[in-house]
Amino acid sequence: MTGPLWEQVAGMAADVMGVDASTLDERSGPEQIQTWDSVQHLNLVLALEAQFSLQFEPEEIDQMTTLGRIAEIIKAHQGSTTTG
Amino acid sequence: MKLERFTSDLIPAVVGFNTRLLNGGADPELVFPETPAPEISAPAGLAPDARNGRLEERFLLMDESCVRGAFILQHQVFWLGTEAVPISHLRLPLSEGIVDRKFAGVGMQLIRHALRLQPLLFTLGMGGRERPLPKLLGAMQWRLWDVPFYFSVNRPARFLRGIRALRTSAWRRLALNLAAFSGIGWAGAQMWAATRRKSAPEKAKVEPAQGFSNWADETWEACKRSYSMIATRNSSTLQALYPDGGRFHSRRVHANGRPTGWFVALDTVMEEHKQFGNLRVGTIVDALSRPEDAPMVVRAAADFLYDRGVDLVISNQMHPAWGAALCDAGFIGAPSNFALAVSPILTPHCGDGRGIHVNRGDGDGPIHL
Repeated sequence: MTGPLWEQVAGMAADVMGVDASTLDERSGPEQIQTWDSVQHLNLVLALEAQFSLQFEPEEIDQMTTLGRIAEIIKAHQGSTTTG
Repeated sequence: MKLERFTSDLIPAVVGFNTRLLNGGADPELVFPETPAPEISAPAGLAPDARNGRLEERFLLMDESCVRGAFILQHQVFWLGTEAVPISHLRLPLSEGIVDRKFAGVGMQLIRHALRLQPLLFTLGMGGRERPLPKLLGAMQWRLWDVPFYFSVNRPARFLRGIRALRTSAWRRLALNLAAFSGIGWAGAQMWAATRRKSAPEKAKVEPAQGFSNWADETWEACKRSYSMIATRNSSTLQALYPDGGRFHSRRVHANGRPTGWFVALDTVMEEHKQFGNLRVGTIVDALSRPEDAPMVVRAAADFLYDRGVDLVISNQMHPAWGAALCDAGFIGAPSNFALAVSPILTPHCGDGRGIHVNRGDGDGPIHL
């Protein structure tokens, strides 16, 4: 996965999880990243909500099992905003 | 994952959830009730026009046939300054994420699901603000306060020998034993007692509450506007929470020739309690009066428990008038592990928190006491 959205998501995940962004890919998630626990998951979701000015539904948080899925969910939000 | 109401066919799934939490090293006290039935009945006046006529609802976050998270909503009516408003107490939000990182997102999902069901939420206790749940709630913009803890020693020698919260090292144990046997503790207690006598208000008259009848409604109506946020404490609520014939000592207080308020106390001989060891602990669980009358009610409650022979008296009180009344009666403040968190939508009703009347009668009630 590439593009500005992916770079933002990966950059924020790297900051929150305390890992090198270059080690992250779309399959990265709690099972791959040792520091990705409940608290860091919360911190990442809240940081993304602030960055993209949106609020995730519980069902969307449920789907946030990898960075790739997170990027897709944000993209869907942005699409729904731009298409009205 | 899907949020579902806890029904009896899901009992095995809840048992499995609890087993995984315990096997993963979770706190043994933090397991979900394994029955869908409410623990307390829904008395008139306590339940808001309850959803489905129930006071308490239990929810499970299901991942196919497995429970990955759970919480309880306990519905109550609060007085919020000018009106009665249904509010819910969020109890026991438990996530498998605490033992398995694969479910790291479950905790946040639970809170968002609960807020969707009832935006006006609070939670109480939680073991103090440094625990994971209050930290999570704080990050989600909930407002947090400590509910201050106060204690007063009645039998100093027994207190010094028995208090586990202070006997945390060999040196401390030795010092406390010396104080207990040398009489230093007794002398200190006499100084406290002198302080109590010095500022004692007029002696109040105390009588059994006898079922919290109409007079309790009159007290509630006379007092509720003095607080910005207070759980309903009318007669039917109090009868349900503190039934006659149980372990609660409920007393009505008169002073200056008029009814002033009431208190509910516990007198408990502890057994291997984490903080209180085997001490006999008196607790001022709940109380109500107008804030300006709190000194008389506190004094009456403390004297009632001293006269019963407890080793110490404790209380958690959030409202500053009740805290000041305890201090004036010789109580000492100590670190509290009892915290209040209110949801973002409820926060504006709370102001700076100084008008909130919360104590151990709220939330889960006086558990472990």
